[in-house]
Amino acid sequence: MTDPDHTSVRPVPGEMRPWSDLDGPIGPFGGAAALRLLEDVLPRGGRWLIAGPHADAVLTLAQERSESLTVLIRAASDGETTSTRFPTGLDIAIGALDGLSPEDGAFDVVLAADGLDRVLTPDSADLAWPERLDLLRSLANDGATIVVGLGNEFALATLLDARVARDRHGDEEWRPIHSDTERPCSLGQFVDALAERGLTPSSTWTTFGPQAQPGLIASADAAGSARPDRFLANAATAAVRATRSPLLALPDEALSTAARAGALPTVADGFLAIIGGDAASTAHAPTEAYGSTGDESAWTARREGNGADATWLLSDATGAEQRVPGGRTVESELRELAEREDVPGFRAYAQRLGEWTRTLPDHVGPLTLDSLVRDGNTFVDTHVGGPAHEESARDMAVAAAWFRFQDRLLAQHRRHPWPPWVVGSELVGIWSSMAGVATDADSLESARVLADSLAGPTPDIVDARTALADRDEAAKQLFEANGHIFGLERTIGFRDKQLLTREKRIRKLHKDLQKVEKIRNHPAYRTLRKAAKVREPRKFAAAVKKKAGTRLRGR
Amino acid sequence: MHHHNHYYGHSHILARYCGLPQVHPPRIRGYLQHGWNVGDGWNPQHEFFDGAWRWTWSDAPRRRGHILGRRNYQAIGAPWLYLLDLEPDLGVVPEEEREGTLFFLFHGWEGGKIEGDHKRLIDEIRETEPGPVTFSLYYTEYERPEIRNSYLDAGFDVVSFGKRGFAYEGTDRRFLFRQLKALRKHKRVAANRLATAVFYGASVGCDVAVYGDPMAMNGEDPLFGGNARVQRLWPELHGKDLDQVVAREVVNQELGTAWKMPAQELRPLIFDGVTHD
Repeated sequence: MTDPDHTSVRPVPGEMRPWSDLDGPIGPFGGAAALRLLEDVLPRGGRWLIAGPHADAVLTLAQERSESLTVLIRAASDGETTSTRFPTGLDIAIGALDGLSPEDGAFDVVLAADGLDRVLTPDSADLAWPERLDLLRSLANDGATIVVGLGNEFALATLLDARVARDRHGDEEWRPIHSDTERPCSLGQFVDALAERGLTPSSTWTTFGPQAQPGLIASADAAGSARPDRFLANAATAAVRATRSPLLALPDEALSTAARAGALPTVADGFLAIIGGDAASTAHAPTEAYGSTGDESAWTARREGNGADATWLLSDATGAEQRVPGGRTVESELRELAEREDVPGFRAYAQRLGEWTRTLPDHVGPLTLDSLVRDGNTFVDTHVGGPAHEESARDMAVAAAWFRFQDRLLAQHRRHPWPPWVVGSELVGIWSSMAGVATDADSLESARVLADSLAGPTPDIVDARTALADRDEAAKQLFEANGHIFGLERTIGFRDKQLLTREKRIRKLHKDLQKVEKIRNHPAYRTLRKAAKVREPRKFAAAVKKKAGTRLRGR
Repeated sequence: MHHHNHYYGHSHILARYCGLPQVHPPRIRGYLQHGWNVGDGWNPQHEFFDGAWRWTWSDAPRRRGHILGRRNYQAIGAPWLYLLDLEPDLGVVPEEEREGTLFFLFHGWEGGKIEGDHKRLIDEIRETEPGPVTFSLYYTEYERPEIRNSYLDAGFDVVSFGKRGFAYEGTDRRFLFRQLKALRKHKRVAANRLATAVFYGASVGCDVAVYGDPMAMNGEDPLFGGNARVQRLWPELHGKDLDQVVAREVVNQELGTAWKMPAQELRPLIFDGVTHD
């Protein structure tokens, strides 16, 4: 059906227009981690079908490995875009899954890693998830390799979704039905639904992060064995933090608790099942986790040993290997000490960390305590890949690491012993000095900038817990302010009484004064007052006599 | 009230069904789908005021409307279904007396004229239809002599059911009554595009057919996929000799038979009880 020299575009019933999954906010299924997994599990040769929106890189991989490739795309504009990007070798069917006819079937490889939600359209029948799976199954050969994804409705990002139910699965994704009670809601139900149709998976995977671009894909077994604050659980947390849904709270705490419960697969963002496939073609069969870094390169990981503290062996995109101890991160150990308010213990740990940092070169790459793992008496940086950062002075890198630690501690509303007025540069200065790093205002400012540049994706949080804490704080402030007002009113009342008393006193004095004034204005008083001024009566009498004589002579 | 709600006397029919004044129907609190299409029931450029409710005939336009980012849809069934309820006897003739084909030409509107090969269509109709043909033109074509005369010259009985009205003026509220009467007289209904009248005809027992030059209309917006998409979605309704049982199932879905409401449910839903335009 596929012409190697030309890409055909054919409509099948159910096309969506106007619409685009490729250019929408969710985007097509892909990403470095997913691509690396598909490279490992997909066979070569045969007729292939890709159902649903998948990234160009996935289509390229499929085109390289298949003898013929049919792509089912529901949006008309996406079909046209894909035909432009892949001018040869594709058979593009634009429409809905139920628009394909049985004659289209008999595929050797069926890839529906995006899941079975974005394969129907408004003009499709209201097919429940199992009916869609049946349709997909009907298009595959017996013994075909099938990759099918499923978004987990019990994912933490869904449970913490800040949007009310009616606003989820909205304009950006267009899902056919919203109350599909037959849709699997756990990995177990997913596997059972597949097995009922003779599609027992050869491997099952849990995905973390946006379902269309998972940041971590871990085998179901590895995810179930993940322990909190260790490598895999931390990678899952980092991936989930990249979710695009607005959340009611950071997912960190809940994911950590899920890992403690061994329930990480239960709250994964999605699942992938691989059915069939040639075991010989799975070149990296032991790989138990696929991840992507900030620069969109992939890493793979496998465990060495068993148990909670099993060591992981990581391979980055270049093939370079790195051993990750199974211990907890420095961040989690320091956080525990802070929550216990064990300042001496915290200081001792910081001191030991400082001693280790002084063994590093004068200029180092970014240090992050959430990727630093204690290994006996030393520390191992488990950070893999990511965007390139310039090296900075060692002390500044240490101070930036403390800033990042503080940001994450506060964002999670963790208990700690330091009062609120030292939060910020002062607290980082204290911690840096514990680690033997001298800081000043300038170096702290530079470290702050460096820490900000290292901040990874943070979900859009409509943090209900912060809102409730703020409400409690506001209520407390209101209570205290009311008490203050009451006190002030009492004081004012006393002042009023005091003023009243003084006013009465002043009024009485005025009355007394008026009496005095009456006397003062009497002629006799004036005469007497003048007489009172006479100090030498003889002289006064002589003067009066002289004056009177002068007047008498004048007559 | 948006003037589209008066088209073809839709608001008048619904008001009468609800026991309200039918000559001056009360205001409808939003937009009533006035014709069938492959989108959400309105043309791609239609403007809506924020928060408006949209009453569609069936569920499919609601679903398609959601991908346009629109909300506030409710399917209530086509006003035509309510007219059938109100006028069970209008134009009814004994089944054996029904004859001929009522052929609807894809029509333009006040803002767009159709262009196509009318001669070829006439030839094809003559080849196909066994009995007399009544040719229905919308007034936009009926008032163009070059079109009307070509069908008259072909020996067809040419009719027009009136004007749907525009901007609150010229609404012929008996439009659908006349159409119903004519359809109940004919044995077959046909058109050169799958369109509203075909569904109406099927709903009163006409056999349906869709064939011939679909013609083009100036300024047709391809956003919803046009007639090509219609043909892909409903292949069972395209052709000269169709499976009428299957066709009626589709017709029931598209007219929203299952969504039709009792008067006491419909009245508070769409009418606000104030009698003015």
